[in-house]
Amino acid sequence: MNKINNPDRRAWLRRGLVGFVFAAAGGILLDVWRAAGRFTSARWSEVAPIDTFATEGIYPFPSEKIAILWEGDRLAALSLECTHLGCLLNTTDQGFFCPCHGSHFGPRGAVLSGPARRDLPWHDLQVERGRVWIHTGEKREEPNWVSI
Amino acid sequence: MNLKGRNFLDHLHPALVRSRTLSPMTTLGFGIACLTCFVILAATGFSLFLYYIPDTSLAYERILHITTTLHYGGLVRSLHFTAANALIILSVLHLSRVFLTGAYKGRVLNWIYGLALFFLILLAAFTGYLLPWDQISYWAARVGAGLAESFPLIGPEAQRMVLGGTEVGEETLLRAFAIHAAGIPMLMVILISLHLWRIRRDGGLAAPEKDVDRIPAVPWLYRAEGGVAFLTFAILIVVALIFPAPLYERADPLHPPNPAKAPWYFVGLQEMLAHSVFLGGFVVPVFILFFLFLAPLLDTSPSPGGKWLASDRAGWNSTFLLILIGQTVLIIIGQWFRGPNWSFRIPF
Amino acid sequence: MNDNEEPGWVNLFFYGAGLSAALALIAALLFGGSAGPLAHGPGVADITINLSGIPVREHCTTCHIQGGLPNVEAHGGRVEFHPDIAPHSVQNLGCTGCHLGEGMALDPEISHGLPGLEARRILKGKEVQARCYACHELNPLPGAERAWQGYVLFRTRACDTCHRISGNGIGGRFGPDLGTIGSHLGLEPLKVAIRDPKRDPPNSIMPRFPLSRGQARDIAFFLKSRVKDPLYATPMQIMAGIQDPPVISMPIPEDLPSKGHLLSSRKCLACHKFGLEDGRIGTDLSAIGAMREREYISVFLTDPSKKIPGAIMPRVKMTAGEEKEIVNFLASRATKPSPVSGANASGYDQEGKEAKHLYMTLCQRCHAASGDGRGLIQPNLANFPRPFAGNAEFFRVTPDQRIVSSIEKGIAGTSMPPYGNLLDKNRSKMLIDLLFEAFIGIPRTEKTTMPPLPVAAEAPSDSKRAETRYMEYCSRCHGRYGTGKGPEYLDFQPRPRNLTNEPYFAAINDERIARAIADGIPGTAMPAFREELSAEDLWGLAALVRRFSAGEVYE
Repeated sequence: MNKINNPDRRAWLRRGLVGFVFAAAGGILLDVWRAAGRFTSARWSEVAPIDTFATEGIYPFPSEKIAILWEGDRLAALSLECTHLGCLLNTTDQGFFCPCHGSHFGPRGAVLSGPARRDLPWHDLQVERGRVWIHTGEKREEPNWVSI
Repeated sequence: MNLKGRNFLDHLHPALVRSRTLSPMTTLGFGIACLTCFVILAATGFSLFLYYIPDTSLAYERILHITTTLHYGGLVRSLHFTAANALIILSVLHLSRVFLTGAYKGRVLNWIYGLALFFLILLAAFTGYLLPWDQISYWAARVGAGLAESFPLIGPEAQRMVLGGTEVGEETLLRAFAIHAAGIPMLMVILISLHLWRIRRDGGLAAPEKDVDRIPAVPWLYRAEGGVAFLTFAILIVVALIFPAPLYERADPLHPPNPAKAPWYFVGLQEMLAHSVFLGGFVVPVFILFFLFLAPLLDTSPSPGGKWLASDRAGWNSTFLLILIGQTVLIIIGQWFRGPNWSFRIPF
Repeated sequence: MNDNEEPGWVNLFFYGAGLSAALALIAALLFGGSAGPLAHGPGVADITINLSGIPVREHCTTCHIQGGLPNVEAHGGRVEFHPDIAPHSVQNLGCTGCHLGEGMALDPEISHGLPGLEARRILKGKEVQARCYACHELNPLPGAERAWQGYVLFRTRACDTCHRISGNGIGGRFGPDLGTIGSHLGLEPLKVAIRDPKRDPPNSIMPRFPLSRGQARDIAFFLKSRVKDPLYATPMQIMAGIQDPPVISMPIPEDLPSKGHLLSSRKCLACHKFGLEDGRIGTDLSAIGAMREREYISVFLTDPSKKIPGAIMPRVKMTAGEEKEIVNFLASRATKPSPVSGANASGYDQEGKEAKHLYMTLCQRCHAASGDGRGLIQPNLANFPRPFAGNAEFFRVTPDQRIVSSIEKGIAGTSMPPYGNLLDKNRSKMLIDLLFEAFIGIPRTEKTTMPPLPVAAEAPSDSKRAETRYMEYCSRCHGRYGTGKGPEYLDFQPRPRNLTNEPYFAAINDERIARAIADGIPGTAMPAFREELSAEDLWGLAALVRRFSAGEVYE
């Protein structure tokens, strides 16, 4: 009786069911497609023991494409990838210099001269068991200073 | 009417067509030329598939093998390359024809199918560009990925999806291959079928006058279509023979060429971005997208579809031409007038 | 249906197109197959060689049948053999391990390396020695003399002060890591990068070292052997290398002297001049001990950019003892310029001769013999030496007292040292007279009186307003942060002043800054802004420059 009286409700039920199945399946697939980044580039990796950083200054780690900035009693990790085309930057006393096209960045990653247009991004950083770890892959606009 | 030997294609063709359908000025044959390119791409693509390995350490050597050692391998690759570029140009021309004749009127769904196909073609070209893993293709992918980044919200996510991470690398090549060789062809076959079927559903080609002379589709329509297909095929082969597909050095992720350019069809976007990130990377592309998708809905001019450059659609047509010419000029500037560090230079 | 209106042209078009397609296919059949090598030999030689566990596949012997010159008609169809390379064997090593090239290609152009970076460019004849040290340890090897010479040069010419060539500890970080450069660049691009570093990018800080063509080639041979995946290492070792990069032992070659003094063994003289030894890159250190304070030299050695911001000299790691020794050495061996030889001979021209001698000994290295500021080491200096020739306008507006003080006290924050201790009043006057006479071309007393500067406002001006003005008028050249590196800075020579140069601005007063903004600086690209700026803006900008140089605004 109900069935006959409420064709509308049945239709909505059907639509809801189909919609849910598609949405759920699509969601799962989307998650699978997005996953590659998770186990390739974006992970915590160890950079160096904390004793490496004896004095204030900039410590480049070209193999990780980052530089650790030590300032006062805090640390932050700056990306060493040029924001123009991603070349590895040289660390000089005046900041960072890109050997590919000559972009120049200040000691805090601010772009001084082009062709790069954006400031250098930062990486997440943490100190665990006397060692410095950085989060590769994912970059952030603002530094995440970690006090020791 | 000859009913002998009816085949599947007859489902896509009516028995009778307006004689105007065959007139060269009606469609200029761009749609069939596109379809021919697609068939060639499928055939050559499958042949390349047999020899190619999507692995960063092997891809380039495999391309070398195909190009220089394999008998007719170079030709197959060149033909694939030529047909791919031709398909982009022809699909733009096809789209322009439909727009400028107002043939989308009352056929919004088919127009949307067509646009979807166009974006699939661009994505296919972009992912295919990366596969040789040489200097130009690698850096074009990096630049292209950078272009996506400037687009708010969707950009970074789409970039992540295609790159399989945040950098162009092993995962990217694998993804580019999967998208290029499996995903897109499948989607395109479906969409092309729908696209063709819709023409018949909508009553053949858009025409201004209602009932006029009709002629049998068999053999005339078939011959006209076959003629366009043969001609396209002949021209593509000749072009492929004269201009072999380019190949550069192995990809070097540390040493970009200067200037590093996106594939030519995205160079217009790159050129716009070089002027303004917000305006060129977001406002203008979004405007173009909205314009293309919404035109058939908002265009309420009374003239029937199928008439070239109808006077009551002057506003729409001129906006479209402005976009088309603008992009063409930007692509020409970006492709030939830009030297190291994107500085302007005269190429001759 | 109207059969009378059959479109006959469709048939014509169809058959025409079909015919052209057929013709195109025939052309493809004839010309589309691989031409070249395949047409000659019996088939493709497809060989896989095992190089320390890495399978390497090659087609080279299709043409180079026995490893010698290709078996083509041009060589009379003869089969040539590879020269004897015992204790190596061609059978075990294959071709591309030593000669590079693209083994999988079968095309004379692609196989031998495409143009561009030339990473895989074929190495032929003597060039093969560029690969020896990709496997062998760094020791003299017979047959690899040039490459070894390159290594010796790399060490003696202080390349390793800025560049490092192995994973661990050795070499500076000032320049790019060259540990794997051989996998990225070919011999020719390497040679170009060594001999003409400022070609790309034009603002590269690497100086142009005085190296002959042969020396640059030797260094290129050596660098070509710095590769990503040295073949002597097994994949396992390479894997392990990720955790702990193997230290390549870098012996100091026997003929690398610690000749006499520390300046030589610490490779200062690879760039600087001392006495008769001259690296032709950096300044003359012969008299530096008499000019600069001990404290200055010692600070400069630990951090050159503290004293001369923008100096390209890298920090050289040294122990406190070594540093002290160098400072002592420089202070003790300071030599005053020798009296001009043969002067006094005629008596008549003695003064002029002496002044010229002084100019050539003290000034010429930077300001050039022609006085245009483009001296031998000008490209390597942080600041452009003031040109004298053709720069009369500048000296018309510069007070005489400032010229005297520049020579006697030097110019802080630049490479211009104080000559007060070397030159007595009389000699410095002689020198200045010479500058005016020989280069500037106006009488020393000819000065233009500048209109007075607008009076500074009583209340401190709004700093936000000054920043807006700065972005509007100055940042194109001087840069957002005042570093002198705005988007257009490369277009100008002399380059825009680095406004964050603390020592330089500490030594000049506000009025001079305002004067430079209001009236510009003749002989440079700095224009006069007197018309554009109000008094408030002018002094606001001067105050902003002060804040830049005090390091305040910078982030």
